[in-house]
This record gives sequence, structure tokens and C-alpha cells, in this order.
Amino acid sequence: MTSSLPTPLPPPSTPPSTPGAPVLAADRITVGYRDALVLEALSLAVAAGTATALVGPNGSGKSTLLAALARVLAPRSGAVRLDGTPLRDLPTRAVARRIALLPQTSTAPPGATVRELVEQGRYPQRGPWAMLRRTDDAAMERALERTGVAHLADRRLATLSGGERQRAWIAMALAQETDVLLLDEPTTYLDVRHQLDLLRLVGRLRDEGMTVVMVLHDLNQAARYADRVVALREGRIVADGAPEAVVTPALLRGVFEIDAVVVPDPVSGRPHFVER
Amino acid sequence: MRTLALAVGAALAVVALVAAHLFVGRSALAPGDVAAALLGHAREPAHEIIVLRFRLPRVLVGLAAGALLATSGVLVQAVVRNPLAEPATTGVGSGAALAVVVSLLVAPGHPYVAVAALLGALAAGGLLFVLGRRSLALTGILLGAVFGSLTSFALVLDSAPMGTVLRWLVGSLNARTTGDWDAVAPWLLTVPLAWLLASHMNAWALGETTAVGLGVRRLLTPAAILGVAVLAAAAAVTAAGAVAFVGLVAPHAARMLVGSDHRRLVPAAAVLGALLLSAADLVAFAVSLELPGARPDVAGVPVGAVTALIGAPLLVHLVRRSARPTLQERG
Repeated sequence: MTSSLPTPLPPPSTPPSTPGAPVLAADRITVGYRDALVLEALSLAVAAGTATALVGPNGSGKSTLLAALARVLAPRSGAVRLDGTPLRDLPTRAVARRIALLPQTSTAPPGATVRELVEQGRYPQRGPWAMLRRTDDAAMERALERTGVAHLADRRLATLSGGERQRAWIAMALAQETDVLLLDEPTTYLDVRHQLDLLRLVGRLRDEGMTVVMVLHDLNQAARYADRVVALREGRIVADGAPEAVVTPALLRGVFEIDAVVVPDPVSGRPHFVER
Repeated sequence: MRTLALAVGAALAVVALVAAHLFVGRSALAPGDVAAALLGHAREPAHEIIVLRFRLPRVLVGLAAGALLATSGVLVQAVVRNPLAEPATTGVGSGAALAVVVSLLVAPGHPYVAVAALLGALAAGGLLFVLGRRSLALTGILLGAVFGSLTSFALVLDSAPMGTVLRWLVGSLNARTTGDWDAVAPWLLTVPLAWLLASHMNAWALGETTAVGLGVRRLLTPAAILGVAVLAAAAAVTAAGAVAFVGLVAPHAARMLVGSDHRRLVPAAAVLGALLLSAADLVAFAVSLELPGARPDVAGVPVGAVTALIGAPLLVHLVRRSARPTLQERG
């Protein structure tokens, strides 16, 4: 069973049939660096309890969109709203109690241990004064367990493999225990098994009611593990909807310039592309 | 346990250094004489003057300036996230030296050299705040270079203040008085203040994006860290001159002993900086005693000429022992 017939691109910003009210919404945001605009009047509403994948070629603006959703980049116009309130009107630590962000690149101080890194995830909940005491709490333990790095807790980051280190960073984001999780290319540095572990973890977090928005490079992983796929190109949303509606030969050609067939994944039934 | 051992070791080292400073000098005093003078019933008036007016202020000012330099170093390294930064990166020391030169040119031989240094240091720090929004480290280094050039120009116009200024530029603890100790002591409050910023610095260390994601204030937090760094550096420079190396090597050595968590790093670096500067000063003073015809209390070897001689081998030893990467990306 193939569906290689070209299908037209779905219209932009089709509201997805997802449960729950929007928890995080970009409302006509224009975002740029210095004199280059990356996003222009872009809108995206993310429903609570869903997993959304942002896909697109390099330079399409997906990381910029994620940074704007995380209030790391302030929009020049428009607003990102959390439960209807513009992020700029909320204290930054209050936002951090609701939204956790795993950026694409970060630096760890020399000699830091996994536990010390994960403890930083407690900063928004405990506050800077309480953070002056070194304490472990249940949230840290949960985050270490869920990412499979509990046995590495007292190791220095410098002594870990790239994948172990990446999981420690994810543990830090989970330790924030927010209801929204933003991940910028979380599978980078991970081997295949740990990529799948991570994506399954994302699925479980979603099932528990967390809202996840992640930038993914692997379209097949996006189709398989996200409820909704949003494709960007040159700062605009060009396709948005359920994986079946977005991962199509027409989109692959139009957005990624790949000539491909799309078949249902034999395990999940989600669309899976194979280059021709 | 390890923390306790380090704390006890540090306390013993401080006591040993203070004792050594109190005994070393041109007049050989018996331990009983020193103890008696310290306790306020000296057997001879000269003992009291030697111990309480000369030797004790010198070691106390040295310990304080070392702690302040190291604390400033930790803060500056934290705010620019670069382990090669140090108090001199802020340009504060050069600002102090320039102010000293200018004040001595305007009013030769005036007694308010320390006041001029403090004002110059604070003015340089203020200028860094105004100009350094985009690139803090680069701005600080450039400010330092400009102040250095202006200092050279001033000295070419009139070389009379050369001796005073040289001691200021190199850093010296010679002839410190109780007044110097009284002036520097309140600034030691910047050490606990720096510790209160430890959790902010820990979060800031993860990079600006991650830190903002954790709820760190993007402008206020680095400004607060830099502000305390400038105050500590200004106080240290005022007390001992622009001593090189302590503000760089003490944070590094501390990081190797207790790790990069600022909650431990700040106190560890402060203690190590105090020990390092005061030990270097002991060496400087002892060498001065051997120089023919020198008056070691006033015009002896400046401590700044010795700090690198002691600090550099220490750093090399620690680096070789731990063989740890100094900066590390996530990947």
C-alpha cells in the first residue's frame, strides 16, 4: 500500500484536531536578529497535552520559533501567550516554572557533575536563595531516573559520552517539572537506541499531560512520535496538522526538495518516507 | 568529610602564615614577646609597635587583598564564562593606577593616594558598566589598555611619581598600617555578597539561553555579579595595588580542589587567594631582608613581583595533577 500520488499542500495554519485549550500560543509574532527578520507575523497555538514537532530545512526558523516560545527571543511585534497572558507580562521565573527549555547548545562549567547540572533545573522552583543550600529532592531523582542517568549522578560531565551528557541535560530540563517542555533537536548526539528511548519518554510525558514542542530533523521520527507536525520554510508555516496530512510526497518535494514515496510505517501506521 | 579536611587545612595554613609574618623581620622577637605584644601587654614598647603597627597590619591587609582579588576573579570569570578572565579584565586596576598618577601630578606628595586609587577604580568600573553592554571582556581589556597608555603619557610628562606608581602597578604590601587595614576591612563584605550570588552564577554558567530558560534575569543578574566583582577588585587594588595573577590562579586552584559549584568555589577561592598573596608577601619580605642596604619595610621587593613566581608553578602542578578540560561543550 503506497500513497505516492502527489497531494496538494494543506493550507497554512490549519488548526489541528487536538484536545484541550491552547496553553502556549504565538500570536502574529515577528522575530529577528539585528536587521534580518526570521519570522514574520507567525501564529501557532499549541494545545495542552500534545506533542508537536517543528520540522523544516536548516534556516527555516524552527529554532527561532522555539526560542520565541521560550521567551529567550523577544518578538518585535505580536506576543507569545501562556494561558492567554503575554510572556513579557510574566516574571521570568514564573515562566520557568511552567516552561522548560533544552537549547541546541549549552556549555557546562568545567568539572560539573551530572547531579550539579540537574540541580540547576530546580532553580525556578526553589529560587536563588534556597538554591544556596545543596539539597537533592524528589524531582531531581525522578528526572535522573527517567533519563536513565541516575547511576551517573556523581560522575563529571566531562567523563561521559556525548549521549550520556545529552541525557543529563534533558534530565535538567525535566527537573524543572513544568507542564510545557520545549526541546531543540533533543536527539542530537544520541545513538539510535537512545534517540528512540528519548522519543518514547516524550510520548510518556505527553500521556501524563505534558505539552511538548520539539524541533526534530528526522521527519520519520517526527511523524511517528508527534501528534502534530508543523513544517516551516523561510520563516513561514507551510504545513501544519496530523502527521498523515503533513508528511506527504508533495511536502517533501516542496519544502525539503526530496523526491520520495511515503508509506505507512508497518508498526505504527504513521507515514514514513523513503527517498526515491 | 573532604570539605571538613579542606576547611581545617585552610584554617591551619592561615594561622601558620600569620605566625610566620609576625616573627619574620629585622628585629628577631621571641615567641613569648610576640604573644605578649598581641595580648596587649608587651614587655617593651618597641615590641608593641613592631607587632601591632607593622607586622600585623601587613599580614591582615595581605590576606584581605588576596581574598578580594580571588573573589573578584571568580565573579569576573563567572560573568563572562571564561576561565582566563581575571580582575584585570575589568580595567579596574589600570583605572586605579591612572588616578594615582594624575593625582600625584596635580598635587605632588599628597597623602590621599589610596583615596585616588579607590575613586579611579570605581570610575573605571562605572565606565565598564556604561560601555560594556555588548562585550564585557573586550571592553574591559580595551579600557585597561587606554588607562595604561594614559598612565605612560603622564609619566613621560613628569616622572616624579614613578616610584609610587610603579609600586601601585606591580602591587605592594610594604609599609601597610592599621589605617590600611581599617580601610580594606569593610570591603571584605563583598566576599559573602559574592557567595549570595552563587546560585545565580551556577545558572548563568550554563549559557545565556539555558539561564534565561531557568528564569535568570538576563540583564540584572550579570550586572549584579559584575558590580560585586568591580567593588572587590577596587578594594583590593586600593589596598595592595594591581597585583597580578592572584585573581586568576586562586579561582583555578579552588576549582580543582572543590569543583565548579560557586557555592563552594567562592569561599574556597577567597581563602586560597588570601593564602597565596600573603605567602608571596612573606617571600617578598624575606628576600628584601637579604638585600644589602634596603629598607624592607618600605622600599623592599613588591609582592606583585613574587605572586607569579609562586602562583605559576602552583597552577601548573594542579593542572598536571587533574588533567581536566577547562571548558567543555555539551557535544
